[in-house]
Amino acid sequence: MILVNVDSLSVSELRSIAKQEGIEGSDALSREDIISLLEEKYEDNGQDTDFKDPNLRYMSGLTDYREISNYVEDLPGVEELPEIYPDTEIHLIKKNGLWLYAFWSLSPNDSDRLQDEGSSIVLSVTIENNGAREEYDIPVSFLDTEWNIGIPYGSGFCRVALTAVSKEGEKTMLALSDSEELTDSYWLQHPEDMKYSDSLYRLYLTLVTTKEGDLVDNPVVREIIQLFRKEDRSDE
Amino acid sequence: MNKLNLILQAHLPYVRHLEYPKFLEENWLFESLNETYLPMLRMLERLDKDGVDFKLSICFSPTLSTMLTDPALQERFVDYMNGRIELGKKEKKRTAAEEKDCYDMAVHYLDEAEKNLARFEELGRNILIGFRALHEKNKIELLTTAATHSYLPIYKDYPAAVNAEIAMGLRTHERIFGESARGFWLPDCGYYPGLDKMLSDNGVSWCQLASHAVITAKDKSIYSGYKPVELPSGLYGFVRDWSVTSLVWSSVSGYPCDSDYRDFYRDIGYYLPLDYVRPYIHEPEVRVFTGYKYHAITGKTEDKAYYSRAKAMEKVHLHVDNFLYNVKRRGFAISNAGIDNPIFNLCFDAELFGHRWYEGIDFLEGVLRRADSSEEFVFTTPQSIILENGPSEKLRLNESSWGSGGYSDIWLDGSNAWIYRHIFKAIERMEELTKRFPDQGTLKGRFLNQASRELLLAMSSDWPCIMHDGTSVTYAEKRLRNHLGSFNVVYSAMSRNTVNTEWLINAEKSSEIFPDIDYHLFEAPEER
Repeated sequence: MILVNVDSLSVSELRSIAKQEGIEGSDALSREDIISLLEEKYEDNGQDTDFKDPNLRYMSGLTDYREISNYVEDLPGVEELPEIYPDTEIHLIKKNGLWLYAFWSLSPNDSDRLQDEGSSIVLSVTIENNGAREEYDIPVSFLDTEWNIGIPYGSGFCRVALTAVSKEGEKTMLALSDSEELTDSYWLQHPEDMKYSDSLYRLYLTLVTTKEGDLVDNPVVREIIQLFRKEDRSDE
Repeated sequence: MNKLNLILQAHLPYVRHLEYPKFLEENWLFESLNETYLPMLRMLERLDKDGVDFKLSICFSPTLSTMLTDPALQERFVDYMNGRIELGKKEKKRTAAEEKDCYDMAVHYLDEAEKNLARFEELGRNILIGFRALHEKNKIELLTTAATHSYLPIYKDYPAAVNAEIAMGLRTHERIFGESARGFWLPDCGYYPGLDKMLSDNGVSWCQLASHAVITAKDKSIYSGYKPVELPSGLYGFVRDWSVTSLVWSSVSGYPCDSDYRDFYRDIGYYLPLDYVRPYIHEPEVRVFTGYKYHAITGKTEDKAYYSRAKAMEKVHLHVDNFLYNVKRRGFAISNAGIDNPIFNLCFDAELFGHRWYEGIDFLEGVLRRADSSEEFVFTTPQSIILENGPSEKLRLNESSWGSGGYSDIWLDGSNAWIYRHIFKAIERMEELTKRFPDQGTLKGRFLNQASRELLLAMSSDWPCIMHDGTSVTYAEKRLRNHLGSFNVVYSAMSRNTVNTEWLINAEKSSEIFPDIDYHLFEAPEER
């Protein structure tokens, strides 16, 4: 993994990195050729060669150069982690205001039984938002173990069940996640209050805007500020 | 009067590999000590000696404070510094003969290294003694954070695990500093509804919050974060001011990006002949940073200009002026909106100053000196503000963090989501062990304590963060797998009602952290 914009590195720095990355004969190559080879290498690894934030933590050099197989082998961990655990369960984690991440496992017994019976499995999603309830199923395969679930802003919750569906269409809940709260913002719920809140709007902007006028990186803030601006325009 | 709360978070993950003669990732600690913690301590002591009235808050995370008080790591730091000093002496000669533009900086680095090492030895190799002395003079508020700096919102379905992180963080602070912390740094500003109650129940008075927490709150805020927020449990929240913070923090337009400041990346470890730098890089021949860096940022170009310390110091003065001017201007606007004496909460990683932004310590010194000589600014601490009993507002907040996007995307993306399947299972198994073995004697108790230690270390936010950033991914992944693998050793053995004694002794030796840990920390709340 390269950590900085390669364009700003000197030839000798690039040659050092190229050697560490196992690129032969870099001493004879031009700067441009080394950059191309490095970019190719990192692209092959599915890694991004774009400029990285200089505030990144924990760097000891310009590359992360080691192979995991021959490194730190003497530490006391002695068990490989299992691919999957033998329990039927489902978990839900809030990724951000608009997405939840669900992951689950099926015990080998449940998996074999359901497949023998010809059943299928679905994720049964329940979203309760401002008193209204929405329920729907997402079909998944026996090989799937994770899914991202879109959620709205509002007052309420979302939870997900792992459900078996028999050939006859009968549903049986196998596991149920804990509930995740939706993002419930006063200003998204009360845009009508914005027209009376000019000075508050300016105060909010003061806290979350850089001197160049860029907003803090948050979609809810962007949406609220847009609503305020819309309100401003409608006043004109 | 503009009140400024400067809150610094000094944190590094627990890295200690005595089984190797040298271990590259231990340099995270050594570089931070030499470039941030020691220069910062010396700067604060200088201010104190000069009679400057200043206040700030610093969180030394439990993992970092454990490493800072570890005699083996202290010894290794001395070795590291001796290497730096030896290289500095060579650099002084080399630059005098071959690269005169770099000579002054070679001398400067050498001088700084010698002063840092001398102060380190004067303090009996424990720099926390120096910070505690400033705390006792009421200059610094010391706070703590989660035991392994775990990003807590992701674990909210496991209150016992969150409580273990909080309680062990507080206990470690008390053991090392000799008193309870009233402030708690939320790792990465990660808050979720209900977390405040757990902190309050553990005796915490305040925490810091992400800047968007107020505008996106469930209730209408009238102070907009310029006064403390009273969370439902009564815990106070201090909202990070993005506007002022970004003057420093922004990776695009922040002060540290100035072209006259020192470039972080161009280091002699990468461009001087291998024979010359070999003793100071990683064995066998892996080039890494040595800390000897002679170029200015200049721009996005290969042709970097030589760094001029004098020129950079001129920029520091300008940036100090600009920073305080911006605070004053904003303070004026906020007062006009009806909020007197606004509080600006400035939350930063401590390592930004000195380590990542070389001139950052000079900047802080300039700001603290200038503020002291002005009637318009006062640096304070959250606990002082709470004691003033001034205005605050009750708010219910949503989940939030200071990470990119403002939620959990950094710690939960395609690179790291897989880890939670294993960590959640380990937490469930740990809770199960506390139920099955509620009252264990010495050996089994130690075995279960080791399982708790491994689990807390696995919960560190650093591993998913490194996987996301792509910096030292192989190391982070290996560490995480090892801690969970070690946890599984205990779980499997205890399931058979046995103890693997030899393994236990080795494991305890390799992780000398949380010596007072008690596995009952992981009991479900209703059973405590």
